[in-house]
Amino acid sequence: MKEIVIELENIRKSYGNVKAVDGISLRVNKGEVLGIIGANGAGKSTTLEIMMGLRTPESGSVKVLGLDIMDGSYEIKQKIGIQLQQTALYDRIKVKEALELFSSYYDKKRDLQEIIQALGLEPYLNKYVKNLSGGWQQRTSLALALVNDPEIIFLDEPTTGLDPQARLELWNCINRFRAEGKTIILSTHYMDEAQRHCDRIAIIKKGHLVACDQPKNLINSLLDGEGSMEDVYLQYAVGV
Amino acid sequence: MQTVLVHTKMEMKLFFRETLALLFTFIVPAVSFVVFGMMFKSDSYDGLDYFQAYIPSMIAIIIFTTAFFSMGLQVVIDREKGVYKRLKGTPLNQKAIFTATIIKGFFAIYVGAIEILLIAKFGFGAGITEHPLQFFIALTFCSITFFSIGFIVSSLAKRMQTALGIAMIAMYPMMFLSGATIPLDAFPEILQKSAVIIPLTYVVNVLRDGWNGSLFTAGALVDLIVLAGILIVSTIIGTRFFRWTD
Repeated sequence: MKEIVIELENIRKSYGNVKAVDGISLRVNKGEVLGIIGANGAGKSTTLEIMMGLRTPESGSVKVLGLDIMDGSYEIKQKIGIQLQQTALYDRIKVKEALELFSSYYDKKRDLQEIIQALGLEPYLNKYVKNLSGGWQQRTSLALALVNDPEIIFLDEPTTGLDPQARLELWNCINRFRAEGKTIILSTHYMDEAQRHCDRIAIIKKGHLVACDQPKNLINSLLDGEGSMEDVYLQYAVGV
Repeated sequence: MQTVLVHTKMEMKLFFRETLALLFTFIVPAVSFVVFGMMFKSDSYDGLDYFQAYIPSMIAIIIFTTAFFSMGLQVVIDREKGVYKRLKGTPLNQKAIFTATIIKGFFAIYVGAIEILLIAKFGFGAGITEHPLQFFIALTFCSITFFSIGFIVSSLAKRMQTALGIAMIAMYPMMFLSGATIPLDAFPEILQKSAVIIPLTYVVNVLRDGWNGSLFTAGALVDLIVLAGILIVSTIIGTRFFRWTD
């Protein structure tokens, strides 16, 4: 019996007339890497942000680490790490300061030196985050998601806009923490990395969860297994 | 509590790296004070000498710039960057962010005020108020009132450009039609009358009352009531419309 760390039950969220999330139910197992894919505006970020506790769904229930997200918000936030699409940091903060600041928010702290070393941030510690290249900004964001040694790590499009080498290096970092048994939930537009790195892939289309399975099962479900993740995406997320 | 302290310390550190904020808090008012001081130090204004009138005035300008630039505008910049959204994902309480922002505001105003006092005392040999407590109370009350207006700016403006626009447009009437820089008598009657709708006019009056020891007299009552009214209304608007995240 797998331990479930996140349980979404029929969640809905709209912005004005737009139903961003329209009845999604999903369970995430401890220690798995779950990829969320779908077109822009399909509801990936909203779903992630509801799990992170940044947005409140209009209906449905959200349980993270066994706690209801409304009642246990503080306890949950102590145990999760998040990375948003934007770097989302003060304009004039330096890498080292950001790490120390975020570390101060948590009861449990992971050794900063270890995180700095794991992500190779040493040469950039005294630089302003906003002056770094996209790849290093993303690494800084990832480092901030790790300061409390979280049980669950949420990454919203961590590799978007990075060059292939930066993407590969970022995945090396992510996989290091996956090896420690952490649960990782991320969204991506890159089918190759979804296929290679994710245990399961959830496909969201217009606010609905249209499929959620292991990459090989998704591929086998189409074209007698002759297709690729791109075909899976086109079939499920676009629907041509 | 420890968390609030660390966060507040960081807000202060970032404030000292914000060129625009430093310019408007510590440079513009001080330079204006020196320039006007050299030009008008022997003039008198409604029975007050230059220093009795303009030490409070320059500090009023610091209150305005702090509330509009270092608080109102900065909150919009940070919100637009997603800082508050990111912080919402941590155990840090939003009250702590609010507290840190307010402490930063008071710090900027008190330090800016001390700067003006030091220039007045050591640059011009002017006398410092005999009513420090009254002045401190006036300063603190006026600051709180303007902080509430600053939060209205960050409630209305979603984008940095909008907030900057509001602050720049507000700056000219606040500085010139409130009596903070140029005596109102120097203006045509219609502009003199417009001073009643400029909130900083009341700050200038209350600070002068505090400085000159007449804060608790009938003469100060109207100004105090107007500021209290502004504080109440802005707080209601702010509580209704202000959002840390979109």
